[in-house]
Amino acid sequence: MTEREIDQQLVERVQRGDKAAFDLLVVKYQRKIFRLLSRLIRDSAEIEDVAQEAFVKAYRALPNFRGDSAFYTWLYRIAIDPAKNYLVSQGRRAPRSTQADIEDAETFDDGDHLRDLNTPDSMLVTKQVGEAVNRAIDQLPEDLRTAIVLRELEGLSYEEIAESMQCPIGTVRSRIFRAREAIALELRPILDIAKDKRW
Amino acid sequence: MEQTASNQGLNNRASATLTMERISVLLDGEMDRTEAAAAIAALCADPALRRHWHELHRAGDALRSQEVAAGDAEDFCRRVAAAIAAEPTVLAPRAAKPVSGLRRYWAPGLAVAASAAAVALIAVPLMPTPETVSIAKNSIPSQVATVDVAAQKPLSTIAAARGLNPSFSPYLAAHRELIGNSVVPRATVYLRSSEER
Repeated sequence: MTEREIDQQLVERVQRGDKAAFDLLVVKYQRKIFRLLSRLIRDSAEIEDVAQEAFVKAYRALPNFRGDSAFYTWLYRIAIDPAKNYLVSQGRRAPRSTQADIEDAETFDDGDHLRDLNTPDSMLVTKQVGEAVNRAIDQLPEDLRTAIVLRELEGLSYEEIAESMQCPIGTVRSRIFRAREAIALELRPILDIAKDKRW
Repeated sequence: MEQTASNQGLNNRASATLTMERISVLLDGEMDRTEAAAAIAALCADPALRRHWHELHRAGDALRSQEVAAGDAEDFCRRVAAAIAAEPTVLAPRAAKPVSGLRRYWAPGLAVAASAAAVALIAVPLMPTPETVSIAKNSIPSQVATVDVAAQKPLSTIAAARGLNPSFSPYLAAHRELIGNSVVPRATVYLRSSEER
């Protein structure tokens, strides 16, 4: 099952009235939307507000989503409107979005635009995140490190990783999960997600 | 007793780990449809699993971009969730259930048969049968005779009897011809009678 099909399952749950399924989509796509908006908006607080407006608009429009395009492509089109409105309200010309923009936004670049928005505080957090990730990766056993890098950075499928590492797919699943857990554990104190705070 | 509790704790931890591993697999889109539906249902039902979904996403994002991971607004998801909670629940109109293959074939045939049965039920009693024809002949001889007489009466005589100009005769002829070819032949008897009056 592809990620698009999983998104479609989540969308169908929302369409049947399950708001928790929408929370999962928000978690999944919030960073991509932030990154997209950071190309247009220079103020990080405004990016959050516009992103929130975009998600609420998407929720309202979800009954009309038929899955003709990927959920993210559809979300992108919805998010771009409040961003344009913001630019117009600031007396700036709104850019015309194109299919190329949408495809470009699908890829996860190195966060150039977000880096431009860094404040001293956010620069410190960024530095700490980098150190935590490096620390977690250094501590990982070689097979876990290889599996997570092949998956997250090279974008290989489980089958391709299994072939590359000459191990069963079940082992790949387990290695990727354990590597993610280790990285998440290092990040937790920095990004301060208290257990009962977020949800 | 103590060992049993300890074993149960281990089983629970193993089960939780397995569930979390499934979420990691779901995140990668590497599940079959049935397994994914079960994992999504578990996620939607359990806030702790949703937190885990968030943290696993963030771990991957942090590997790809420290800026993006650091930009993770601590309370952004909570704010959006609160805003969504205040919204009326959206419900998409349900699509009609697809018709099964078997039903697709027999349903049109059944509709045709039902239509034919309805036509038969209404039309057959109206159709003259040998018995009804003979009964009709025997029961209303005077009317038939009247009709025959009227049919044979010259048109000019009828026009004169009703005080009409003889020039109306072609009109009456056309009228009679029309009545005679009526699609409701049983009504012609009454139409003729009326004309006679």
